[in-house]
Amino acid sequence: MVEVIVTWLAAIATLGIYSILYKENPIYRFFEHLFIGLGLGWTIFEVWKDILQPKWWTPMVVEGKWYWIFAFVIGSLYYFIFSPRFAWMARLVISTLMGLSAGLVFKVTAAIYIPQIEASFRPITFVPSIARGLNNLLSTIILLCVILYFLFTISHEKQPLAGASKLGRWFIMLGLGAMFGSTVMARLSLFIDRLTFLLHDWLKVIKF
Amino acid sequence: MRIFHPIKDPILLTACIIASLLGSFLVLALMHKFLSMRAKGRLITALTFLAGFFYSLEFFLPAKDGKNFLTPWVEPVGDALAVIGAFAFPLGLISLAVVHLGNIRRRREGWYFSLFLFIAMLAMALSAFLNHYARLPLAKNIFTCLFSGLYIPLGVAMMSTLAFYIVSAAYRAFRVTNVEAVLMMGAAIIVMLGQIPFGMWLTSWLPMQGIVASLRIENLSNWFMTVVNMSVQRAIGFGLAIGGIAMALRVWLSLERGMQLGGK
Repeated sequence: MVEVIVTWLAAIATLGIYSILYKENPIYRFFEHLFIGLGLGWTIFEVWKDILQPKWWTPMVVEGKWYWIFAFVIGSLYYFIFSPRFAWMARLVISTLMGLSAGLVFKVTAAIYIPQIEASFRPITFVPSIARGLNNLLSTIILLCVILYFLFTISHEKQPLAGASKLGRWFIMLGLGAMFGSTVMARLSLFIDRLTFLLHDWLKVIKF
Repeated sequence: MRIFHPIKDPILLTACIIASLLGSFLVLALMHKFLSMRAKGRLITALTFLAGFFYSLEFFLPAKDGKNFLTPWVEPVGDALAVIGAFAFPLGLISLAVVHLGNIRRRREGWYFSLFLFIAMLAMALSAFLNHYARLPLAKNIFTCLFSGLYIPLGVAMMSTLAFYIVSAAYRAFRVTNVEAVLMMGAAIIVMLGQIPFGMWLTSWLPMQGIVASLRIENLSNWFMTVVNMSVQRAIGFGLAIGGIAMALRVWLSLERGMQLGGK
């Protein structure tokens, strides 16, 4: 019984969302608000279940690590943002967390991008095939041209920088085109999934 | 330190928590009373600077077996960051409630949508909690209907409608007026054709092996994604990383005007 209700609800919700493709209408707005509300309710549950319960409540109350109450004290400082007199307390916690995050940026950037820089300059000789070597060379040329295109501290007016910069712009267009193509395909996959659901699971018009 | 040992006695634990709570707010109240605005600003700047040291020092200081004296603190600090961040979540809820309760109270156009938003939020949160903690069969059924029947299909349908908008935007953007537009459209068409059976059928007459096989649409599409797109994304990523470091430095050194007390 629940499965039937779920199928019908899902079909009505899907059609309600697709009604926007005709024009803006109250049915779409209803399902839009419903989606936001459900998302918020789910996030409230997730925040408690995945973060606050295992990392704060259980260590503090069950394991007796009383000092986790200070996390609550620090977290509660956010709410002083509503009072101009006490807003400095909110700034205290926000700025400290931003300082921590700034430190984390150095660490994450070094951990992610330094290996990428190393991996970007791959050998063009002593590789399994000529094609691999050519691809490695092309990757390096693309990388350098695109970086050059975004380098504004030197003039791009004279050759060979003007040509390399122009080539960089063309490579960016090729990359953006490829990104666009894969994004469209990902979205269309979702659309096909919904159509399959409507025609196969709900209306049972098509069979596999 | 002995004071930071876990307390097993529930009464002592409760007393300790209440005392810490009261003590913390007393310290904050005293700071509010006796520190001047300038001193408070300096305190904020100093704490921001000190906090910024933690992760960077942990990463840059020499480590033995991949660990230095700060490494054991990375996980607890990460947990504390997540918990403190989670306490900020209700701020968003308050902001949303102010907007939508205002809609309902003033009976603005479409106020009933705001009401449905609250009903959906409460229904989902309650059913999820009752299903997870109380294991009530009714709560489980309601949760299944809300989650599998509404939340997931609504999300997927919402994301898939973007396909139509992207295509309509592309119709305007891809008008072949210059070399850049041609290159972008060409790459997009090759990548899209490379992922569908029709595209693969177009070049199915080409051999599967050898140099000519590289011209098969699925191989071309793969080449675009792994060589051209990856290199471009990497170059853009390096630019973003440099920008991120510059921004992090400004935040760390409190050079951002908005971080100062009274700053705009």
